[in-house]
Amino acid sequence: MSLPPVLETHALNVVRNTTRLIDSLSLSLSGGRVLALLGANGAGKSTLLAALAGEFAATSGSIRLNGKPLEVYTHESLAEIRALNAVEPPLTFSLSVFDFVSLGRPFSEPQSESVRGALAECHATQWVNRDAASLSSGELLRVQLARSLYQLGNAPNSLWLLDEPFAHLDLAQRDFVLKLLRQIATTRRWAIAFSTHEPRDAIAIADEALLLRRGAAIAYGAPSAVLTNEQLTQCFETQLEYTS
Amino acid sequence: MFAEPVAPSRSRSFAKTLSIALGVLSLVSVLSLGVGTYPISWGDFLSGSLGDTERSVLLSLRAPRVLAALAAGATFGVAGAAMQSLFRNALAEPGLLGVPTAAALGAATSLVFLSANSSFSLWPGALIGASVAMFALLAFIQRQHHGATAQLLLIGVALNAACAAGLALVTSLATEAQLRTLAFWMLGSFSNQSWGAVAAMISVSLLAMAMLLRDSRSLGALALGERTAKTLGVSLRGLRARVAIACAFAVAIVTAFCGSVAFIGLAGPHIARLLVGAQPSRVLPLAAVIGALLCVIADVIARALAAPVELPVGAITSFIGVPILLALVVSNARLRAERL
Repeated sequence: MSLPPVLETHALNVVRNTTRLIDSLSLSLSGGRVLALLGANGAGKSTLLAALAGEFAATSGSIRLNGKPLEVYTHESLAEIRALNAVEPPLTFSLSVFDFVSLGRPFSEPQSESVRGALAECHATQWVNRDAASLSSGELLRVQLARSLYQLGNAPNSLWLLDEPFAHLDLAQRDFVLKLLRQIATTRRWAIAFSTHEPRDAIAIADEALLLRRGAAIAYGAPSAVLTNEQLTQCFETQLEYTS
Repeated sequence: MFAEPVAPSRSRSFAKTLSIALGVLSLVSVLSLGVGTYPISWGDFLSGSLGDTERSVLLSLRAPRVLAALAAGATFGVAGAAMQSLFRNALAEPGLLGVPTAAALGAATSLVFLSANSSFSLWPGALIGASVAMFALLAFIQRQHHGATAQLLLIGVALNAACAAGLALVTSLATEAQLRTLAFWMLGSFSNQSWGAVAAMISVSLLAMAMLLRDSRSLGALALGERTAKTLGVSLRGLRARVAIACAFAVAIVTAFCGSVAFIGLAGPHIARLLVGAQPSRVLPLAAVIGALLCVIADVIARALAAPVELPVGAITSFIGVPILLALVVSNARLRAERL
């Protein structure tokens, strides 16, 4: 018996005010696999991630999570198997990094061991007593990733969505986070989808890449096959000599 | 080298801090029963040999007054803490957002046009006014994206101004007797409370506290922003409505009986946060206790400072609250500057 893929969309459409943001998109992502979303600004990467996270209903088409339509999940049951890391507003009040990470499961008592474990995986244990509002953007990202790890625990077949996680990272931090995502996908059998502007990120760790233009897939498959000069040129509508 | 800013996990000290605060509150409340124009001897009180006058002062004047201060302070403290988390804004507070002014307008309208004639019959008007204001605020907030700090305060200022203008219009139509009743609103006072009013305030304040505490974990997750809170399983729509209703209801009832007690909703929660960190599950109960403590102290000052003249308690709480507000604004500005 084979498990259904963690994430599956079929002919997904998102239309807002007559603008088609996502255009009949079908994709499938199994546990242990990493998908990279690429495309120009406004191509629909964030919209797609938000739709996959269940933040709003698709106009038509279906999204299935572990074989079940996204709509059958409640907010709370969805939070157990799906995490989203996107841009967050600055904190209003100071909050210790420990408390910040334990908000990953807001309705249960903080599990100190698990919180520290999640921080350790993100090499962020040293900040456990720091005020999260005082962290640099790279440090904060690692703490946010730890929060998602704490949120999902060790549940296999979870879906982890990340909207441009590398946007503010220096080279070393970027390398660290890339390796972390790859390792989590492999060891926990999670399906991970992240968006990025950097094709190298996809080539480094992704099993699949999806090139988006105006909400539609230009190419979808192995990163080496998707991220060619011709397809990048077509996607960004500019002559690009990116890969050699 | 700079020292790293530390926000220690304060959960272990929370129970201790809360018990100490409750202890201080009980002590101050009991002691405050003896303070006032008519002195009451503690020796007589403890030996049970109080005279009839003293007994009557204690039972029909002092006790309801202290209980009213406790209920009002706790209500403003917990409502302020909940609104600051809900609006994700350190300056959100029933008073700054115009809720008590709206309650006063509602009460004044019912007084002048519907001939409500005692503070007991003013509360439905006050409740309607406060609820309309609270939902108007929410409607505006839901249209904004996160970080709409300036807009929120501008809306609060606008609402406050509109209600104050309405209040001025309604007041100009009031009779002499109605004017005297209305003057009470502007000043705020815990004196002359009937036991019925006290019972109403205590029950609505406990109810609001219970409602808000049940939602404290959701409010905690809101610190991460509405979007993240939602993906962590928080249902925002219900949360907003519950918090708005609890705050509007409690603030309206308290305002109906005690008038506008300024700045407790700001000072209480911020002092609580300094003591136990920013998690609403800890801030909400402690803000209620500290709010109550501030009100009881303010009331003692109001009746003792210039006795036998009684000072308006709203002015005293402002004197306590304004420095806290200013300190907050300055330290906030410095914090943001350091972060950049």
